[in-house]
Amino acid sequence: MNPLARLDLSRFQIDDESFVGQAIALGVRFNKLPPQTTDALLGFLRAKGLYYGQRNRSGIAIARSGLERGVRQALICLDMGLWNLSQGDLNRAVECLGKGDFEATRKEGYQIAFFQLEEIRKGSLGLLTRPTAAFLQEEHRNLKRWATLVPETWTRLPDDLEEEAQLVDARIDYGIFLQTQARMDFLNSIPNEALEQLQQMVSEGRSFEGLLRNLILALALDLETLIPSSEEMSQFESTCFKDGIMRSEIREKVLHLMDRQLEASVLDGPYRSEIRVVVEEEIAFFEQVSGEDLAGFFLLAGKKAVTADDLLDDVVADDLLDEVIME
Amino acid sequence: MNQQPFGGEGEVTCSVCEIVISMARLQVIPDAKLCVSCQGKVERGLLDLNAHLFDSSGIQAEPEPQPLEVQEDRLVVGAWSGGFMEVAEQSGQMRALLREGKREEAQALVQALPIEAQAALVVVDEDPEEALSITGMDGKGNPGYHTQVVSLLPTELLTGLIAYDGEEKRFNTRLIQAMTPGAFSRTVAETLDPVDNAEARAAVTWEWLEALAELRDANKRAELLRSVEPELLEEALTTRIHHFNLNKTITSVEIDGVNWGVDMFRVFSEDSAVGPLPSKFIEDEKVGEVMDSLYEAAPDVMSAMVRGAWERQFDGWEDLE
Repeated sequence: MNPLARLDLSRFQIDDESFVGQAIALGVRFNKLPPQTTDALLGFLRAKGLYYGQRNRSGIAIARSGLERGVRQALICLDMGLWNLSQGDLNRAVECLGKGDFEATRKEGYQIAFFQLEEIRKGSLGLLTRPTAAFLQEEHRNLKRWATLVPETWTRLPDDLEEEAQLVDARIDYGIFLQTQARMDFLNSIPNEALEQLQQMVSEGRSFEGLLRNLILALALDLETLIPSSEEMSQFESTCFKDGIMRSEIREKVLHLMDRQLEASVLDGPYRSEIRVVVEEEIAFFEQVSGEDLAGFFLLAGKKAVTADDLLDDVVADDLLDEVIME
Repeated sequence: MNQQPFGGEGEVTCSVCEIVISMARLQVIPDAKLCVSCQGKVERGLLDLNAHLFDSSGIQAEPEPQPLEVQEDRLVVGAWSGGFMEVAEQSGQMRALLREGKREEAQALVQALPIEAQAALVVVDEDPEEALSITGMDGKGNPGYHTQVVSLLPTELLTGLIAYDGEEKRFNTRLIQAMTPGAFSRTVAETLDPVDNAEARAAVTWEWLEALAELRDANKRAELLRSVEPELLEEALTTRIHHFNLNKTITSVEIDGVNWGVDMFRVFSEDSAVGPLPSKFIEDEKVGEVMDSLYEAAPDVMSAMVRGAWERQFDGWEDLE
């Protein structure tokens, strides 16, 4: 009955995944933390959960979801604050935790979180005005959602499929936002004419991965357009692959050109690497479907793009169909 | 504040202006101490009842006890305090007796403690509701909540016990019945204090009204309703007033051969007698049920609440014009 008693803190893992968890593990292992640190931290998180629940209640009693949201928010802030105060150094983080001033650490994290959320909101509004935003459907949906973000409450307005305001994670969503920004910076570096032509002709199934496939083909065959003809698709299949593997000189050429484009357009190293990984995955995808009619795998006028997951779903569906027939 | 029949036999005069309170009002609120007009002034904050009644006589209203607080490792109520370890030990003893089926001994153990210590035990115990039900248990072993203990419980413990099933909107009405007006108004106010969002405030206040409407005892309903600040009550209707069709014409009056329509808003005017039940003109059935229950208990309070919420809708319209 007591709202504090109803909150199961074991659901909030303070494990090695988090910086706080790593610092606690290190401190406990080498006896660098007072023995009551963990209890004190859990007590602190309970208090923050209650505070949040009180401010955001929608009925007489505080809802458990409100308490949990408060604890989660405090934990994220604590993690971000501790990282910042210790500059990512675990030994310094253990010292910080040992002082027991959790609130100062949380406030530090809260400020960083606030500015990151504000960056997401403003940045989303800005990115939505770019023509490339409408091109990437998944990213476009996220940007539209984040544009309604309220940094003070860490929530955004519900969209058509949702009933209530949704929590935005200052850490995870920020990472996704930066990734989206990097992808759009990369797309912006593609010659406008080629991109506009693709944008005008392809109205369905637009995705970053699909666009990369068209780009890989264009780079492999030195095309100036992003929309391949059926002859070019056949040429791509016959000249760039051998025994289901992309020819090494073609792979090197494509990756070299991609790297050059990425270095010029995406400033942040980790996000550059993320895009490069997707490029490699799409090359692997081509190798997987090599020998089939490739037309279905590109963004083309009037066609819906196919993803690797769709392909997998088709395989599973075929297997299931076979099983039914066998029975 | 005694009721003094200064007028004729059976007549009751208003404690403020001393005019005779109408029989219609007394039939609905037998213990009414103020006329409709003065009651309205009190509710709108135009009249400080305590200052008016007590200043000249020197009588002071009894202060409401402050609820239990946690101060470092101690539970504190006024001058009383108990260590966590000590209170947890008493809770453990009570639990051991209950496990052995010795309810009478558990009752004796709990009820022998000072009221403050009983409240502390409820706060610390693993099942606060069960512990609280022993504080007011009678000689026959019937569980009950001790009013004084309830008054000392912290707000968030009380709210968790009252709205024990928030999703299904089921309320512990016996616990509300055990609350003093002071404890009730304090709890309502403290649930609202930290909430900034107007919609959320309306939802919280409305849920309090829903809980209150479920009380069987109309006098208690009225008593607790009156303990809450009128402005807070009005907030409950801010998101629901659109369900109220107050412009609806309910009757017409002939004056000098001309028929004049009387709209529903008149029913809630300060000088109106008790009118039809609110559900007659509220579109939402559930809202109507809650309003009826509370209107039956305290029509003057509810009329003022409806008036206030209705008028709030138009706040700021002058600026727009």
